[in-house]
Amino acid sequence: MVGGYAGKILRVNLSKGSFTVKDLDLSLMRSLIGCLGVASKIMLEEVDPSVEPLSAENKLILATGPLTGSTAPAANKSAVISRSPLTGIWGEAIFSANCGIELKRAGYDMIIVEGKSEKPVYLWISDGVVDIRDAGSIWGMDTFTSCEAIKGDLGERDAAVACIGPAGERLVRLAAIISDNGRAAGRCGLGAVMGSKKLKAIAIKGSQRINVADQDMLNRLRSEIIETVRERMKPFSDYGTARGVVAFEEMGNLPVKNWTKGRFPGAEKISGMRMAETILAGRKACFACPVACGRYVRISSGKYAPLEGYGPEYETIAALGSLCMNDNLEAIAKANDLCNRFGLDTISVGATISFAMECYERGIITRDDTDGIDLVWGNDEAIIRMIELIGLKKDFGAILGEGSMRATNIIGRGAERYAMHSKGLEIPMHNPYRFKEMGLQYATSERGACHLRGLSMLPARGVLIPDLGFDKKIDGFSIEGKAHLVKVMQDACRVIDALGICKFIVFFGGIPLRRVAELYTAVTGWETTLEDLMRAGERIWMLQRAFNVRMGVRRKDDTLPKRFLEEPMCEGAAKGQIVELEPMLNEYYSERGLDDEGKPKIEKLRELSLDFAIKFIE
Amino acid sequence: MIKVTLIILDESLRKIISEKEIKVELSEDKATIEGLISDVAMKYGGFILEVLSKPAKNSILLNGQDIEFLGYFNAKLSDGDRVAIIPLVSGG
Repeated sequence: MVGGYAGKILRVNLSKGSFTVKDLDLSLMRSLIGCLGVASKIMLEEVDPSVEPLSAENKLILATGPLTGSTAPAANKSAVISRSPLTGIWGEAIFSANCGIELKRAGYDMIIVEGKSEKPVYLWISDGVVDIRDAGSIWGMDTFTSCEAIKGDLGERDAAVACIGPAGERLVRLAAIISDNGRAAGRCGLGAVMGSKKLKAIAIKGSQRINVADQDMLNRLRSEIIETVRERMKPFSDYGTARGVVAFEEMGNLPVKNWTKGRFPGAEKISGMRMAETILAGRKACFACPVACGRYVRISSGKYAPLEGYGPEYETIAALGSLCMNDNLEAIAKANDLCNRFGLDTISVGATISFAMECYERGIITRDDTDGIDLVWGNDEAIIRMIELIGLKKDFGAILGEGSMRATNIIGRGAERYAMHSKGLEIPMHNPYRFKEMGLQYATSERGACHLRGLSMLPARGVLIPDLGFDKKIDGFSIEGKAHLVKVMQDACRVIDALGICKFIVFFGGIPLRRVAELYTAVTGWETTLEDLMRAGERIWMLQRAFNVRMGVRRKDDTLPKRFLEEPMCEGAAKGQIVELEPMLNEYYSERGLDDEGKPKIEKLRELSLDFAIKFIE
Repeated sequence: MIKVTLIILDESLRKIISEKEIKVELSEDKATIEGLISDVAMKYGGFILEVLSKPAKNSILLNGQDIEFLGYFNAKLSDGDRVAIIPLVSGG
């Protein structure tokens, strides 16, 4: 019997209050590796362009990988998938939520939620039980209170819960899904999809063993890998993902003032080191992770006290910090906590507030528009107030909560020039002026601007990946070879995501990808090579591209904000740089097998054995 | 003489050179990365050479660009330049 997969797919219809269970097609797993790939096929086949993201017809999928919940290092990831209400295209967010692990233990690899409930409900899944339960008394609560209330309601302290907060309930397009272990499926507004289905939470507890084909091999690989990972990633353990803030500022990677500046004098004040010296109260590890880059913070005095909870990651620190010219670390921790409680994506929230601050500085909006909030750069109290209003979908917050792309349409007056997004998803916190590959990656990521769908700047930062051919440093300012780099790194990240392990420990921990293939072999019992995995990654990327093409995405959408293309960076390491996207994109289309319009070529789909996808893009 | 700023973000080096930034004066004939490193090693001890000899752990940036693309240790320095020693695994 093959290991790793639970072997079942659960489909729940909230309109009918019913569910079905089907076997997972294992022959499909040979080519797609994880349920991220299966979900891509299902979304392509079942969601047509007439399905509005916030309608009953849209689907919300929780998909695990074959390694999820196994003892492979940091095998803790699951993906939430839907048509995004923020972008209208492929919507996906991956998090290390315990509910994915419990789902496997309850005997399922994936849940597909369809339809819409009349009244607030939550979904309870345990061994042999699928129950749609009343959430009337929980609706309205913040995320962490909701998780506790649901555990209390079930009398199951050990259940894993992922839920939405007030933002998702109000269909805020920046709404996230938050898990009880403090991790967020943040991007693409998937919390609003749950809200539209009146689905407050998913709670899961299982007791079945996740089968591993060769536990001895897995144990051996794990102990070999963990030693190297611990040593290499000690800085992540000590200082979290925000260790890099000062170094990023120095190398021109840190985004500053809505991407108009290259230097930020306050970088040290918001760094992981400063956090460790001040508000850090502990470290948090996700399931089976030897690193523990998660932060736990406590503020006991000052205007943001008392506060105790999960601390901000690098992306959050940059988005709500340097991007908004805010160098107050305690304010960032407070903003992060508020976003978690409301259930909001910290990246898109920070980027959208930063966009509003630029509009405010330029006089495109005034205090009359912002309901009296003084949105000057660096005003930490204004940032906090805006987050509350976004979470409550109130006043000017109701406009910003639509995301920067829609907000420009409402604000008008030329505001679109300052909205920094690609395909509607706000640009995350690595600088395409500094690393041109990130520009190409942002323009071509399947969910819109995403840093994690590729991490293609790693070889330029000296984090080498020899078994993908990146065995020496790459010049981040050059565009040479970037199409190949981005394509390969995107494929690698797609399959790592599909496997269900953390890509940070793979790349920063220096785990060779051939070792990752061995982990998959140990867990499933299927002999698998790195080439097999990379092929699966390419297939998954291509299926999601096909989905986007079906939704109307074409070459014109594979682009970046004009600022990156036309306005040279004025200072810092990237001074004078712009992103030369067009030549990189031409080369990329050819690497990928896309035609001039940006559609997958028929022969490419055939070559990847994705013939079933052809009819959806013709 | 030229004056450059050396920024130290490597933790083990910070234990030796306690400041985040130091100003270093170099004569024109020593205005390279190599000249800078030997000057700093003279002042603070050979430990710095050990740190810099681990390219798997640290990068050296000149005005934000990796010296690997600027002629490595022969990279020329000018008055006002910033040289930074930064750890590779610096976060995400």
